[in-house]
Amino acid sequence: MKTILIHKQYRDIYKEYSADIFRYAFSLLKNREDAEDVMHEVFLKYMDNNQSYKQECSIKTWLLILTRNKCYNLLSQRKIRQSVDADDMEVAYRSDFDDKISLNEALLTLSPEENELLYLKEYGGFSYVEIGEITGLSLSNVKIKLFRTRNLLKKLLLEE
Amino acid sequence: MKHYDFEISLFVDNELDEEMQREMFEHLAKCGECRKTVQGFLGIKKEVNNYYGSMPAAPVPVLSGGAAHNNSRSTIYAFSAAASLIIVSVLFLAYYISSKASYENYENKIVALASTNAVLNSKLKSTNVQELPRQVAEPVKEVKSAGHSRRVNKKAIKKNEDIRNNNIERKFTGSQNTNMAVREQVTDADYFTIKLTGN
Repeated sequence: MKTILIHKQYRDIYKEYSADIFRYAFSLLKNREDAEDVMHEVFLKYMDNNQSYKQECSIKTWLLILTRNKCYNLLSQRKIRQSVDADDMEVAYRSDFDDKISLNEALLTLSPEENELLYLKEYGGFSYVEIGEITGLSLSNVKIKLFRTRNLLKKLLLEE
Repeated sequence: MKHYDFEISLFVDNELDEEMQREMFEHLAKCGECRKTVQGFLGIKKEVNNYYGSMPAAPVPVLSGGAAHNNSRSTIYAFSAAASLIIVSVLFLAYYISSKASYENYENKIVALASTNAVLNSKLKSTNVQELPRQVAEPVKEVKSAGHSRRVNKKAIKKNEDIRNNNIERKFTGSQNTNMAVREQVTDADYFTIKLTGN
């Protein structure tokens, strides 16, 4: 009975956070297959050893920290920055901007860190403090880097 | 006029303190350049949000290996154990019910037999065995001859045996042909002692 309850708990957590984890991984890796692999690894790690979750942050934040670590490990191991395929970035989305370049292309020019900051803030809706917890950056660093990323993206999209 | 950019980034994220936020509203009311910056940052926010929001969700994984695999295996083990326990319990219950039924049946048989015995006993008591005609064995006569010191009249012995058997048979039929009657026959049977006379 306990096993069934635990299994249900895993399923609930997967249902709630899988999309966020996948998108966060994608924002860093820019590759769909790699993002899926990371997402599955994160959940397997959570199921294998969820005792390491100390409840110092929310479960979502903790899962995103796991995701970030996995992604950066993958980036360093595979040097994925050099093997990014622009096709992986194609998403069924049309910008409202009259862009000089597409949003896909603009995001490709950004670093993984810049992409993850954008994702965490613009899509994830995390506060600066939470972003600092996930990324390990200081609060002031989060503010400055996010501001610079926005400025860079604005220039790429509107001012080139 | 001073223009803001870093503060506008905080402003669109609603991360400014109250005093700075009020100051920003006052400035934006007067500065078209900063309003343009705000619009640009809000546009980026919306674009990036739509971009990731339009991304198809990850497929449901086939969890294999790791804890998920162990958990499903544990679940199977738990169900197997429970099923086995239920089967054993049902078999034990069936055996118990069957045993109880046969025991009750055996008890009923004992009670019936006891009552039958009681009836037979009462009938046996009412039956007068002495009323049955009875033959009396004749004493065996000693036969003396020249060559033997003792001789037995074989014809007389045979006749006495026949009489004895006849008595037993009549007693048996006269006692309602029951075990009790037979037992009584055995105990009360007239065994003839053939006294041999001799030196």
